[in-house]
Amino acid sequence: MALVSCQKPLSDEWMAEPCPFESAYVRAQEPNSKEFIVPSEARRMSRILKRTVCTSLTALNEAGIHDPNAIITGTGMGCMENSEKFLIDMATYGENCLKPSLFMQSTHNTIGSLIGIVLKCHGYNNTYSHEGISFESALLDGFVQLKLGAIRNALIGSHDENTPFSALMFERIHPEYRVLTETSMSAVITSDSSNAICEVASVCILHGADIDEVASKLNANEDKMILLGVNDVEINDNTYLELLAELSFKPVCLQYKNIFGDNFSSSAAGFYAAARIIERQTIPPFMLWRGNDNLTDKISGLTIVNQTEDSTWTIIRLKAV
Amino acid sequence: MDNLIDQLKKQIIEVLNLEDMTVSDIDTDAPLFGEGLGLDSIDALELIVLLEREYGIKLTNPAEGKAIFKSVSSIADYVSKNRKK
Repeated sequence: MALVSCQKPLSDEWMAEPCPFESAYVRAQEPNSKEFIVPSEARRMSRILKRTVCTSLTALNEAGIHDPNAIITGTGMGCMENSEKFLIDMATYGENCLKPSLFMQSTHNTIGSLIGIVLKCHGYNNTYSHEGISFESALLDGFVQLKLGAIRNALIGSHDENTPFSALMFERIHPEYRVLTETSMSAVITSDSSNAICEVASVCILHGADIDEVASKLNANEDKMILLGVNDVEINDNTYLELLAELSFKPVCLQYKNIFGDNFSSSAAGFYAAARIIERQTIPPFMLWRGNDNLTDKISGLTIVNQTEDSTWTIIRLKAV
Repeated sequence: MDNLIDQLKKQIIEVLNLEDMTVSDIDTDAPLFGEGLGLDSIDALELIVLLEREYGIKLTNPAEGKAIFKSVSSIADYVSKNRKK
């Protein structure tokens, strides 16, 4: 697994010393892409593409897999920076004088296809662009294909960037305080558990679900500890509180957006954090949100629960191996 | 002509994102494609857009491209004779 975010890139220093947010719009800390990409190949890549290559290659190296059976990518908005430049060019110069590189690299599936080209991987390659559930959609695809035996492993990722202009637009749409960030996360899922950090036990997406329906999916045995997409915005956090009130048990509740902020791929950062917590059996104290009294010594699993504004809920259950 | 050559080199570095290169790294007479800078067909399209935006030159005959984009020197020569701005 590998993560580029507002925290130190390709590092887990955030677990001990997280970088605090200094504004409501925080860009990702760039990895040293020269370690992964030769300059002649990197020169056409935008920031999100470089980040994606860095996280993908790091995750694959960690997993010891260099030719994955599938590349499945989530991205809410794709190559935002290039799209923005392309549209500005179109408005400035008209349709007859546009830069080909921006045209080629401003689509959503540029990200997944670039990884396929870099890895020379001709296997299944798909991109999900479903705003805040893009990552979960990609993970669900890979998870189902693994269960069906269609693939033995897959590179799963979710990548989103935000430009100063998109941050300004976001602020106008959502004037309530929320830290807008960027995420690039890659992970390898495999049917071979020998080198696994944790097990993905289930992936569930509930469209337009009521709170009681979501609550019915959680149980005291498997969901003693849950990681929630709370973000200090009352209207958002209240929904999670309603969910907790509906449960017949009191789980330990963790948060991750206070460390990684919000963007369409931020739940992928939550997934990364949850896996590392299980792997290291350590919970950074600043991630504890509610129910601290129920903490136990061993972390047997962690359930990631997120919701989007259109009442789509996602539940990813991770277990220790 | 020297000023135009330096300006073209700066524009080529910027447009093609040749991050680690400076004006002095580009040989004025060296081939741009294949050897030399090792540019490719997408770079050729970027250079066509550069000439149109910066110098008002519209390349309508693709056959001309090979000779025009042979080197920085040949581009400068073509621009100096055909520029509209």
